[in-house]
Amino acid sequence: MNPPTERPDSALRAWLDLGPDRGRPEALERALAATRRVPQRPGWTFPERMLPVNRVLVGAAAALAIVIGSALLFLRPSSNVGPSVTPTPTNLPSASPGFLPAELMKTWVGVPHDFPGRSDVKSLTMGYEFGQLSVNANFVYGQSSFISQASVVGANTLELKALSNGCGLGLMGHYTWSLSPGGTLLHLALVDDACADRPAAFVGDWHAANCKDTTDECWGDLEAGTYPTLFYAPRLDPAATPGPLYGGMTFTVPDGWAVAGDHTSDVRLLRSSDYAKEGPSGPVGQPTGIEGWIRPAAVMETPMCANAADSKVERTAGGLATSLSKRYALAASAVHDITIDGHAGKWLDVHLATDWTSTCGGSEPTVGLIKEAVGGAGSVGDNPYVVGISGQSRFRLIFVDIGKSDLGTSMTAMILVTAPDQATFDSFVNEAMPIVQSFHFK
Amino acid sequence: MISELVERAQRGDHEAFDALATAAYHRLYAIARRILRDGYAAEDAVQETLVGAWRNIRSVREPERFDAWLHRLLVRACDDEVRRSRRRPVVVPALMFDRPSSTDDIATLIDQDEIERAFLALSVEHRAVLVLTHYVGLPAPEVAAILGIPPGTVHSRLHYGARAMRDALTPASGPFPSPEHGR
Repeated sequence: MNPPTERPDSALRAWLDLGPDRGRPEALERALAATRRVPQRPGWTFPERMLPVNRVLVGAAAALAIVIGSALLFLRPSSNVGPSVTPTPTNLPSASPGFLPAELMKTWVGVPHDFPGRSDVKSLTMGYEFGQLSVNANFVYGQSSFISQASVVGANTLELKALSNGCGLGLMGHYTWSLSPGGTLLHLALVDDACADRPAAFVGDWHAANCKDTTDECWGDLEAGTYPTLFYAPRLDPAATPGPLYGGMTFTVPDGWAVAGDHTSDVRLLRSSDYAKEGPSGPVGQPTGIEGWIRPAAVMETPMCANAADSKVERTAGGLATSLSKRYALAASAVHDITIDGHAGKWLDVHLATDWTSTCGGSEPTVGLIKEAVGGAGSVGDNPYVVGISGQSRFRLIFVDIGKSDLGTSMTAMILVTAPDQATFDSFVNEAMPIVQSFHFK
Repeated sequence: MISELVERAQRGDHEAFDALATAAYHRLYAIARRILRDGYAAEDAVQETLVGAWRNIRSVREPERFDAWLHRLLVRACDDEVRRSRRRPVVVPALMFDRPSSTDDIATLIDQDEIERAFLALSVEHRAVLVLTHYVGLPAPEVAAILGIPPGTVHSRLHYGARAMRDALTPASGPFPSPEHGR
């Protein structure tokens, strides 16, 4: 290994220089063709300011702003998605005319549905930024719809003045809002709107996405209820391309739980008290929580930590659980049967064997267990994920055969109940398993 | 020349915008490719940038700053690309080879692999600072202006990035650098 001193910048420069510096001509042609299909906005509707940035204005705007945006709502009549005990929206004290109250300045998620001007909506968010309220489908930046200047004009009443993307310029609408006691459920109701298409996008129920990780969209702290995941895709075929997926799995939690991460490959649930201890970049040390992962494949057991997939292990609940139960590196319980959402599965509890000493270059014994099975579409991340266990951590590994993907591939999901030590695990696992049993795979 | 093209594009002249886009295309792609480490994602980000630029070019009040504005749109598009695809920057445990220190080529490959992992563990905003500084060669005030952040934040992100690279090239770095990225 090369010495680390004085090298990072030069090594980084050299590494950055290695990549390609020219794009494909056909990609340029496609991009130029795409610009032909969209109209230009009037100059004054776009909040982008020219450089240099006025920091005072930015600070003021940021203090006001931000984002109501995204995601979910339950309560679709034909769906089982929604809080099991629906919070009853209660009015807040009247807000002063002017900017939106802080309670609304969140990212809000609605049940995906098509609306005038947008079809094939897979995700729906509502956001507030720089005094403007808009809805966005499928997390596509620059294509928000019904961008409207928003202000408070009466008791829990919003006034929307159309700026662009869906309504005639200046058309006014009025909506009332109500919030659940915990402030996570928002209901918007129509009073009147001169723009006939706008209510279809705004009216209804929205749920706050309070993810600490600002690069992520996830629920954060939850009120008791049943919730969908936003990206987790347990039945994503290895040949399919990932994207937003509302309700790939649903789960039911009591009060005091949170979702700390939600990605195509994984979702992480934990107690709000533990979430409160985490920073935006996640936990320090082994977290206590429940994790869902997709497409598990066994990792070959080797002290060299190569983390290669073991092609000899069948990628089914039975095959994976049986393989792990025989690992030299692990102290494992017997393999047990389990049924989740009507699907058969297997589970076992594991921790590192006391005589396993390989550290994989780290400070404590470690071994890789499971990695993402990669197919024709490649990994859903920059690299296939690898789940390993180290130190005193305790895992309950649950594998469930959840049926076939849209393309007909048999799929298995992995659920982990994790804790940093035996005592924590023993107290946590009984609390976690009812939530695991509530999992429903779309 | 650029100012004239920008003003024509602001009046709806597609040919002028095509000329601007074509002139910027390879540079934008190269930057996006380095931030995202994925060619197809980079193409998507550049397309999103150009569509956004066309839609919003009338908001440009200083045409001579068009390139800087375009870079800012690109960084946002890269961030959006990561969000949209949920490409989680998972860092897998370090490969534990018996590294033959006498074989420079292998050592170089291992270093590159470790730099890649460390780089992908950074946020898009941090990656953008590193790419604009170390690849494009922009000074900190210009990077700050493009990203809309104070120059001090640029220095902070450069320091953080250098530390991440240093950690990546340090033998004692662990297999699970942080719970967020290591599992």
